Amino acid sequence: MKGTFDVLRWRFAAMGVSALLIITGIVLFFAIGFNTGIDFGSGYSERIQIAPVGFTARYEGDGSAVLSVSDGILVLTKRSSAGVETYEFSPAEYPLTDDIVSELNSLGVDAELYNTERTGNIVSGFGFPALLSSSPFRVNFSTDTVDVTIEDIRNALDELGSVNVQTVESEEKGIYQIRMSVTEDESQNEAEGRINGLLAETFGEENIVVLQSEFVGPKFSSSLFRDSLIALGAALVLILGYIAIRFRFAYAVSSIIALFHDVLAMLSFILIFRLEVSATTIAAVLTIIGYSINNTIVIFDRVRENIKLEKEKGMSVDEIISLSVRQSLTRTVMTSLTTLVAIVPLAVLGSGDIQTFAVNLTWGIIAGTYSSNFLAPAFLHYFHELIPIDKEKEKKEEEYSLV
Amino acid sequence: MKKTGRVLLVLLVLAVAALLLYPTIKWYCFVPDSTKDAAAGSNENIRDYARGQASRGVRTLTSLLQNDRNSAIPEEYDYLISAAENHLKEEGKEKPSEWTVYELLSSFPTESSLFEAIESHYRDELLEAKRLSGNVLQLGLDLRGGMSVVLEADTASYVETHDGEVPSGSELTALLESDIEILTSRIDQFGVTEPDIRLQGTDQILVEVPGETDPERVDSFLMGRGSLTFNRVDSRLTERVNRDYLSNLSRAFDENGVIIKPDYIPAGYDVAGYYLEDEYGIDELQQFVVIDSTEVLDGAHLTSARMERDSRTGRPAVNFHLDSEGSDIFYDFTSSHIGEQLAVVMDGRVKSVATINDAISGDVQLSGSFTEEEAQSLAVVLRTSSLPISLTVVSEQGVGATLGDDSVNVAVKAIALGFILVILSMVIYYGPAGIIADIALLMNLIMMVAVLSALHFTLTLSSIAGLVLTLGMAIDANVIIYERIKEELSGGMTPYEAVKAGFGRAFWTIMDSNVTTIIAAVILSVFGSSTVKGFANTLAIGVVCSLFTSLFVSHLIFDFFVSEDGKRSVWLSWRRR
Repeated sequence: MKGTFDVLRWRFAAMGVSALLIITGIVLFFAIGFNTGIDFGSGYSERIQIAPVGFTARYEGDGSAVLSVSDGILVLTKRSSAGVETYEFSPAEYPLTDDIVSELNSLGVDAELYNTERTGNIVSGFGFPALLSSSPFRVNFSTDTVDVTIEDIRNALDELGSVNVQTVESEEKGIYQIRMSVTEDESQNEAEGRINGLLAETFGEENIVVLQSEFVGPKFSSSLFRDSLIALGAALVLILGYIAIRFRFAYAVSSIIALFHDVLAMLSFILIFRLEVSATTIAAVLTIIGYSINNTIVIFDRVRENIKLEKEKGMSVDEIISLSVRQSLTRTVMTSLTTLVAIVPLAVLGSGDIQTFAVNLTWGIIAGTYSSNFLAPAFLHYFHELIPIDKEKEKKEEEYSLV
Repeated sequence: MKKTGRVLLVLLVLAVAALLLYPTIKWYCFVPDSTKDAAAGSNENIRDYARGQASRGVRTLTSLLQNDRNSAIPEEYDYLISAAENHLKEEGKEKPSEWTVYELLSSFPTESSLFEAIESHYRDELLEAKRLSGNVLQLGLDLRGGMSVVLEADTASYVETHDGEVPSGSELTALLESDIEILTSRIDQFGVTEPDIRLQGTDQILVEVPGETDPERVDSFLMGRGSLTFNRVDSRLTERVNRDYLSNLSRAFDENGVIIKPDYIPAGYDVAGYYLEDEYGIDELQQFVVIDSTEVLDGAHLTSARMERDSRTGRPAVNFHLDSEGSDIFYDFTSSHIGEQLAVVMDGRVKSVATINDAISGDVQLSGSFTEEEAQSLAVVLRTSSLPISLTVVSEQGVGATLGDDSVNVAVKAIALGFILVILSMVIYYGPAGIIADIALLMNLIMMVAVLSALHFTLTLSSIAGLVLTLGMAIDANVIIYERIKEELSGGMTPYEAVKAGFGRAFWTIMDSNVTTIIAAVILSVFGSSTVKGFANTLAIGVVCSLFTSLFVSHLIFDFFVSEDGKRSVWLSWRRR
């Protein structure tokens, strides 16, 4: 095999494999579509804080009792036939939850202490203002330390797959924003239920305070996406032009087809493995376009050079193409390996979107290397038959090609 | 080119890179967090802060004086001593043997000069930090977070302007969607990298912008016209306020740097400061202006604004064009108030005071204290059409990285690991020549980061992807060259010839492959938006840097180590032939 490895002999196998992959991708695209993340589709977003319960409060007396929070201070408003009475529990007067509990009890509210916390850390979620009833109402207080880190939240939500977890304000506050893509018919309650159910399993239902919840629209509007595609199209046309001028038109068409293959192969890969499509996917596809065109040009450059050099030996164009691929092989392997070495740690160690990005890139590099070694030469073989490579003309260009 | 010339060029490039990187390194390693936070505010915030500190300082020092005139100067005011020495020098007095509060205060001729000395100390420190922050490489929303702003549709004002027509839920959403389009194009024009703008619920818009963004700047592009109004100036009251305050600045401002309104100002009037930017770009208080709070004309009547330079003073001036209704109002007012003064007030600050000489309609040219930046941002906001439904800010909050702070931390480590592995694998495979490739690679990285920070780019995950790709291509260029040299060596050339031929033959290969990439990058950078743009910019810069490092720098290093007589050579692998 050594020295006689003929890449063109494998062209049918290569094209078959690629065609199979791409057809699978197309079928999957129409059958189930992309697994779009929250960047491209609508989603559910909520802000939560995990905080222990300081105390619970019940009220069964006359009139009504309402607990509210204003400027971080707990306020009790009692309405009865005798009038309205308001009590403020400022942290200065009532530094600990114990103090509030005993005061509430003396005011006729049935309060039960759970944890002793500083009252300045009261967490006011959706529940406030709360009309107290016979079932206990929980009042949560955050601790002075960060007990639940962003990793804990992410681990708890691992099952959901595509979620975005983000800290809000300073990390010490322990407030997290969670975003998740939702299916079309899912209601806000269902989405909230899914997230909070998982959080409750890990942190206990009573400790979860939902500060805000909302449906959010996609980050990328269709117009933004269309603009990007137009830019990409323009870039491809210009690349085609440049290669056609510097090389021959046959080279240009072959490399652009190889490029299309890489993009489609990547999208098929994403479809097959149900990887989430997010803003970072665009970056990954762009990277592979840059990478793959670079690879193909290096091999074609060798073909161009060999056509000039090997003319006298009477080699056929096909033999020259195979020879060029062989000669570039060490370089191809070295470059692909070094790039892979740089990206694989990220694919293995990373998490979330970043990991998906690195996995996409890893696959893209493999696909790109494969296409520039197997497919692009095969296309060149066909296109040079359609548009013959003029060896005399190639020869003339040697003067300015070699500096 | 001679070898010395080439070495000088490389050193020059490195020196420039170091110069460009200096602010970034200083900012991330040497500026304390508290200064960073304070400097994140707008110029006005900084001025208010400095003035509040000055007000506090003057009070502290005078009360110290009253308690004990010989008490020592508190450490935090040590910087005043040099200012005091300057004052003494000007007056030709000797400096005291020991500085006490009494000596310090008596060396300042007036209380206002003490106030100014403290104010300028704080202001200069923060402005310096702010300038620095403008020149450092910032991390994007996905990597470090930024500010999250929730905007809500102002349905009430919509109903008012649309004859009581209340938009239905889906109409409201459609209106907000067109708002989002306009906001997106505006933000692009403001040069904010990769903001995140989404519809939230049915009547809100969520905007996240990266970095420590100046809240007022965010307001100005989110809220549109800002609040630009034309107000009548009361010259009698203005004179009186200035008489009271200008000589005694510490009485004019409270601890927060807000102007204290004197008792004799009647209801319906406000006191505002009129500032002019001096040649160092620092606002200087010119005077106080008392304005009638009912505005003559609202900014909503402006149809366009253009930044120009006043041909006489060279200061930025703004040309406004008014719509027909605005022109009428303005004409009516100016014709009946000739000889009086009119102030242009932007976000509560007087930007310009002009005496009405003639009745004016249509076009208004204002030269005042508009900074170029303000004039341009006003022009941008007016150029991008007004919002179909106006918005109000519901909340403004800092947020962490959208990719999650934890995964960013891990990713940074993984990228570092990958980079080390690349460096090692080059050395393992190519031996000593691998070290040369690694030097070129490191230099490429330094140059890229330097250019990125000099151009004020925001580093996001997609631009890091561009960076990784570029580093891959930089390695690739070296691999191509080395493989070529190896081939030439096995063809029987001497090392010197082989290096020469290797670089020569690889030149066009590398050029062609990189130029195609540059073409793609430039097109994507010009026509693409947000994510695509960030990626393309880094790629374009990186590929140009990589051409330089691989074709020029590593060639130079080779020329140093490979002598023509064959005595010295560089091994391309660990196996020595």
